[in-house]
Amino acid sequence: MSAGAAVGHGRPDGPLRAAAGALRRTAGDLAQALRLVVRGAAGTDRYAAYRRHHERHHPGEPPLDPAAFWRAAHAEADRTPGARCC
Amino acid sequence: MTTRPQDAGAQDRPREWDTSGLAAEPGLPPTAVDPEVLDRPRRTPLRVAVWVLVALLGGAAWSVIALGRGETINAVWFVFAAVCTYLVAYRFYSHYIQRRLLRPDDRRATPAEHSANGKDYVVTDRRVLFGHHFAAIAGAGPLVGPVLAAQMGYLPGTIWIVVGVVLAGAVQDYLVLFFSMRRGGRSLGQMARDELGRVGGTAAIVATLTIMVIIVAILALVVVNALGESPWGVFSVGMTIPIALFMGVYLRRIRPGKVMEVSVIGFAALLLAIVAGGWVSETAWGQQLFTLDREVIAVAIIVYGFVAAVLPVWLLLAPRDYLSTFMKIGVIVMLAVAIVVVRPEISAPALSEFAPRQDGPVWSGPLFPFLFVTIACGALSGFHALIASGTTPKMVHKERQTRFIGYGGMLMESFVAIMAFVAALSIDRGIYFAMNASAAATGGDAVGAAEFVNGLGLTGVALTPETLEGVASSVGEESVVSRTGGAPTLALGIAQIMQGLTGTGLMGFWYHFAIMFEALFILTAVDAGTRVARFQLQDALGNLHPRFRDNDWRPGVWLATGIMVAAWGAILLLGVTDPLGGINTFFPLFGIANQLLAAIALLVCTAIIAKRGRHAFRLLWIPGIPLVFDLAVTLTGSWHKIFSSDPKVGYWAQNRAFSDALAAGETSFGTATSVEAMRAVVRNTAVQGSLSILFAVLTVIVAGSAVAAVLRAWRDDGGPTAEDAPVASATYAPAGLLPTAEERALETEWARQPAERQLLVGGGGHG
Repeated sequence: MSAGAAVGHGRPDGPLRAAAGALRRTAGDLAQALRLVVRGAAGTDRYAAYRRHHERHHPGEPPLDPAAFWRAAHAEADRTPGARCC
Repeated sequence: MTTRPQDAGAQDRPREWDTSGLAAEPGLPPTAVDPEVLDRPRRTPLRVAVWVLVALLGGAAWSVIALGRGETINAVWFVFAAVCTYLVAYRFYSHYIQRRLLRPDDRRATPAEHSANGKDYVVTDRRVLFGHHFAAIAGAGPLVGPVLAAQMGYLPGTIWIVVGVVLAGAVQDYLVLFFSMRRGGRSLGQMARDELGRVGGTAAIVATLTIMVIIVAILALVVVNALGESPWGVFSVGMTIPIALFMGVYLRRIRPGKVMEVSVIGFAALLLAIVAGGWVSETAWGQQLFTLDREVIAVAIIVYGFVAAVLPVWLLLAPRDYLSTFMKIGVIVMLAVAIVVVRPEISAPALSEFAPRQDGPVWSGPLFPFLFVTIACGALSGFHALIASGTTPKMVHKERQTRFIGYGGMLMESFVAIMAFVAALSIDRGIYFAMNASAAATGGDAVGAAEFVNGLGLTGVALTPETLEGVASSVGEESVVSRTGGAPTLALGIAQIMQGLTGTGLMGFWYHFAIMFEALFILTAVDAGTRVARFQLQDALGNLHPRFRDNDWRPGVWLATGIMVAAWGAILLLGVTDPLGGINTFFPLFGIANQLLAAIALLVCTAIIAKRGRHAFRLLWIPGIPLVFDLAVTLTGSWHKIFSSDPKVGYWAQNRAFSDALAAGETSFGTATSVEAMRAVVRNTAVQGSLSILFAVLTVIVAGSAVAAVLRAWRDDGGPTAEDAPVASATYAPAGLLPTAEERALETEWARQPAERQLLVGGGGHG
């Protein structure tokens, strides 16, 4: 729906090209969103999320490797189980 | 009840926090786009035209559904009606709730930002979190309820699924997610204690625990019914255990963290297991080994439930979760392809012969309230309140994203429910009733089933035993008669639509593919539900003996797990051996339990809003509409189940009828052919009736304390907020699926900042 907004860019080569660009960008955004939604559903993002957290909050300290991270994550899930819906 | 539930310090808390001082750090870009800018109407001609078109298409689709008097109606109209309604509701109603009621403030840091710990509090990209939240809320529920509701015809179920989600289900999920996020991700039980006081809070926690037991038991009953006398199903579902164990070990020892890789391997193995099930079920040894009585399968699931809940998560639960997510995505895509590409014709009537009556063979009772408890997940699901408080709110990046995740996520689930509903409706009605009437009614064989269904007086239905046998052999089963529980019916519906694409040869494969995914969802829910219930029980037992709270004390874990498994296992066994048909009498309890949880969640939300002060009372209708409707449904439903004098509907009426017959010395009564069976009915109806009373009493207690809290809020013109004090945010991200121009501009400005000033969320990227 961002086609209308992009017209405001007022590119010299006309509103048509601007609209086409906006459409392309929207399609790209949608494709990326779909990829991220699937990644979220599959839960493959968690180690990367941990690394980003670690980088910001504990810079300089060595992060856990994937094996150690997942061991800790599963131990945590054992301690505090999360619900799954019906 | 005049004292406030909070501790003494709560008196210092204001009604609403002052947020005027929440400025971004100097030198950083702003942390929010001005809500005035985002919320102002932008009526460009293009936008107006698009929304008029969406509304017109939706209106046309609804007219076809509601007024169509042709022989059949095309499935695609259901998809149009649903999707257009979702779009309009999301764009306008959820936006209204955001702007007027919740007023999210992106200048405030979310718990994920201010309490980040890299474990449960992790800032997560909104689209990743949408997928994560959806995977947690959507399971077998939206696939089972609509199938059973098809008994009443297509119109009431469609209206409830679509209108219900817009006004009730999605509103509940959105409000609970938002309020829990503002409270550091507190659970529903904790929020109930904060807002409703100790009595209401305790009743809410007892209700949650009981509901969990009922839901696990009845979901397990669905699996038992789908696998009974089905060697193909038993083999392929049984194979998921070694597959999951292999995946667990692979992920732990061989290739740690390669989730996508192991999921693909596991999924391939799963498909092989389904195909192999077909071969095995055709051999003599396979039939002998895997044709199991439903009692045997029930015991196996109980043993499995205990073992799975005490085994470490990495070995079984986590890998099976990956498998079931893969199946979930696969099935949703398959359903969508099946319905949008094949566009099956639906010959079921808008309102069936059973709509004005209360003696339907699939489930008994009048349309109101029982249709609204039969379809719970997909329209309004109280269970979601447990996910929307607790897990998801600890991962939200920015406050304004809760609309997309909470309201939008539930719309997605509703769409799954509509597709399942359409798939069930596409089956021949005679076959539908033969599959879903209890064995007590059909006698369990094709001849009896055909006779029973033809005797129902359904227009246009003439069922022959040969048709039923033909259907059974086409999907590789011995029989499809009285395969109650919804899963086999949906599986047949999907298989029949899919054969339009892939040819008849694959019917058996598609049927067992669908059975497999329902079984996977449900086994995951059984295992996870047992763990959560055990955890809550340990917490409660900890009051008596503190060591129970220690999760490393294995005897405590085993004992608590054993108690919870015994509780749902006992109900499961009652359901499996029930002479009246099991699922047909137990399913209303599942729905009532789920809707009761929704009532508790909406009551807590109402109390929270009232505490802002009298000026907030004019917005109470937003949770008020679904709340009043839901209370009417749960309480009238319970009323029928407890007090109805019709033995088909009232548990206690049935109980009395059988007790009297026993007292009169009779040796058979109704569908029970022995004294033993009669005693079983007396016992089962007593359990069901007692649970109905318990649920009704808990509802009344929670509702009473919520009304008291609201009246107190009116008297005092509000009360101290239980929200956490606001903290200034130092990060930014857009709110919805696609950013607006202003959001994109600010996001780009943030992306230009040096890396150490950014809160890296992953996924990001633009243009």
